[in-house]
Amino acid sequence: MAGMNRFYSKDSLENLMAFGLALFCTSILLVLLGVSPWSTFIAILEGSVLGLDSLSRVFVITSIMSLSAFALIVTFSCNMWNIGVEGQMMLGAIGAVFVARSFIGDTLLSIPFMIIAAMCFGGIFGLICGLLKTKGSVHEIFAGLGLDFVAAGLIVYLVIGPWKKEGIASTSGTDIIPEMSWFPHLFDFKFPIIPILLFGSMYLILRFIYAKTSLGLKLKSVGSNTNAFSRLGLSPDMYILFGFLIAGAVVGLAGAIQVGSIYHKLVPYISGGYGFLGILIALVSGRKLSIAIVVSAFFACLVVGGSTLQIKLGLHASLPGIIQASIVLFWLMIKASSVHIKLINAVSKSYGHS
Amino acid sequence: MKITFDSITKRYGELIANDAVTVSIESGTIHAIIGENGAGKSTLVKMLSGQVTPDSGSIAIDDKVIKGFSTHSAIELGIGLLGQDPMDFKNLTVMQSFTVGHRLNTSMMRNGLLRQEFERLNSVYDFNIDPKKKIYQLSIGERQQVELMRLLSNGAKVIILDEPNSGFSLEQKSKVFDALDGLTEEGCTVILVSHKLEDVLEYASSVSIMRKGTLVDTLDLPQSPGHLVDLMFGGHQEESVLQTESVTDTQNLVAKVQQSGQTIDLNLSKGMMVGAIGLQGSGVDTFLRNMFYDKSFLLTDAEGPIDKSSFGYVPADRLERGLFPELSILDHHALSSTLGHNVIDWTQIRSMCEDLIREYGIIGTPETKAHELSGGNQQRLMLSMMRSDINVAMLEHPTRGLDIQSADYIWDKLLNDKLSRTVTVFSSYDVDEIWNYSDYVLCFHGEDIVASCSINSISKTDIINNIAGNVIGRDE
Repeated sequence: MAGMNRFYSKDSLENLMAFGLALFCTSILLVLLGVSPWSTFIAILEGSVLGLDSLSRVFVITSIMSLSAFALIVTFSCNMWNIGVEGQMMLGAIGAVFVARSFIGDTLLSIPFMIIAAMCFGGIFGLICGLLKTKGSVHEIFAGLGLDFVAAGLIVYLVIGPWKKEGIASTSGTDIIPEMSWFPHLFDFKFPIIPILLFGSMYLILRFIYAKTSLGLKLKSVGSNTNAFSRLGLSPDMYILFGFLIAGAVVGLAGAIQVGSIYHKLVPYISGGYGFLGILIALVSGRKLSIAIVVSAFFACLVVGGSTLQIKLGLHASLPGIIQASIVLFWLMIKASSVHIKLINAVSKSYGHS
Repeated sequence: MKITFDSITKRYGELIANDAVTVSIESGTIHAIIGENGAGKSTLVKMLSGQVTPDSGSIAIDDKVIKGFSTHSAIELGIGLLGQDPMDFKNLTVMQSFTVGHRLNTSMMRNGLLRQEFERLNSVYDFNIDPKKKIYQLSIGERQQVELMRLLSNGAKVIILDEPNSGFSLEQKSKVFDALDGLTEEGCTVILVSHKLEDVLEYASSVSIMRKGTLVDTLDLPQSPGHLVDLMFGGHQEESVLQTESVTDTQNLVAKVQQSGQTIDLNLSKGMMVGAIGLQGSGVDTFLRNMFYDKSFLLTDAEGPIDKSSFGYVPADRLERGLFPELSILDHHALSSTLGHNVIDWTQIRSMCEDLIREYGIIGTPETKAHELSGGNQQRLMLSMMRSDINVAMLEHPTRGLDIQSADYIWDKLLNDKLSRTVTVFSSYDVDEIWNYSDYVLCFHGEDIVASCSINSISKTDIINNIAGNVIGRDE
């Protein structure tokens, strides 16, 4: 386990190589579509990182995607598919809005309590998924998917029911939360300090758990072989539940960011598909926390910069989605083949490494 | 069809599964192949069914040497294999499963014909299987009957039964063998691979005995069961030699074991090596696992029941139950040594891991993953994970599949440690292992312990007789 997240491990190098190849294949696809890959990527880069507004959005979306991917990496380590990650993010958002709408919503205490509530709501929702798996023998994919619908339904109920806007019930969302509950920017640079602090601290905590603690090793072991795990006198169910609880709490934070930094209210489908994207990021990053951040940042640039493609190059708005999907698809294909490994071996040979 | 195996040799790395095996099986007979676990029986018949290619030697059918056996060519030749796990489709109905791969199932489904064929075989062999049921609703025995019907309907002339009868009820077994008996009269050849002597003696007309990859003898039946067991286990000339350094002085330990709904007491002594032996498929397979996981199992000394947290269990299926295939040796040692801690001191664990790798002679580095290790090294890793505070060590087939050097190492280690432990229990199918290393022996036949005593008060022949069941005892 030591060094699991070392950036330069052989696994990471393999994944990066596969990622590079996937990018290359996507470029070929763009050429076939009659689009210049170079100008597309430059336009995406300019539209995402050149400009304080767009850069700020890149940071916020990177935070949300990273937290989703972290949650998935935790449950993947227990060999569980946490499809319920969307629902857990939605519950995190509900928790945050609940605090923001309460009597402390207009006070300095609001943001810390929003964060705590988001973690608790998301964590409990994750735990329910784990309980359905371990105690109810429901496959975690079906349990998670079902709970996603429950969470989506709950938001719609809240938005048009108990938390409806003054006078009208509309699916456009609840009333805007008090400004004291908005996640503040640092100075005038629009630097989204709270999302970055949240995902940065989660990265450090998870890294510590996996690299240094017995809990991290147990989460990884239970995923490797539950029979061998119980042979050591440990309860597989308990650690699978731990995995879901941690994952739910982590992605619940992403829900809080959606509320505090982006929407400032509760809207239906507030997770925006970032939970499902987290699954792809976790896969593409080879389940490595640090690489998940890099991949999230790249995807965030695609999301933010992609919107400028239409204006600058007159390309269809669906292109960023195509690029994103192609990269994942090519990455999976390359990983399934041994092309990247052969390439790594050839490179290491030419540099005289073993 | 007459089948001749001529000087068949098959190696898996260092292990010789078949060593120049020559057997001739006459047409229209039920021929049994017997031998203890790992004797090479299944490898031999897998070559006939095209699943395994021999390294050297040839197989002839009706004196014509067949070249390039594949599963496809074996089917074309009319060779059908009925294994322990039927090769069917659980979510299909019986009729659908019967139809898949059937010769009548051409591009256009001939459902009427297939249904008639199924009904005909079902009634000829008196199997009474409902074609509308789903396969998963059937017992293993019924599934094997469906599979047998499919093989016969496809024109199989040679039927190989590779340990198929564990799933049969008595009624099913007699129906299947009655059907097979009838087929031999029509010229079919049946090869029965089994370790159940009762079945072999009842149904087969000739038998080949295998031991450690070689053919010991081919005999016509009937034969004395004791003689067959003797050939299977390789004689027992050392039986008069009593064990030395046995721990049998004081009976200061009582093990309460559940058997057939009753509790039986085994009176043991501290520091003992207890060997559990039985044929494959007997209660010995699950005995240690049950002892470890069953809450009702109690081991009591003068001070009362021994704390179960000091029990250590080493299962036979290393990668399925024992180790974490994707984790490194370092992770395994960290996991077993930090069960009560929250934070791992990796520097200390690494140094301990390197010491254990040296001490147990594991060929690998701390970073080597469990699935990358050889079987012997996986076994060494499991032993090295056993904490020093383990008082009761339970080891299933501790040397299964290991080379002689690794096996010797494991026995040395266990014998060295036995006095520091309350008790060491191991299971084995090998009578020599039990004879050489046990202080106390438990003999299993069927699901039950049929003999339990100090190794000094039993002969090797008696051990063999006990595990072979009453039929042997009566015969002797």
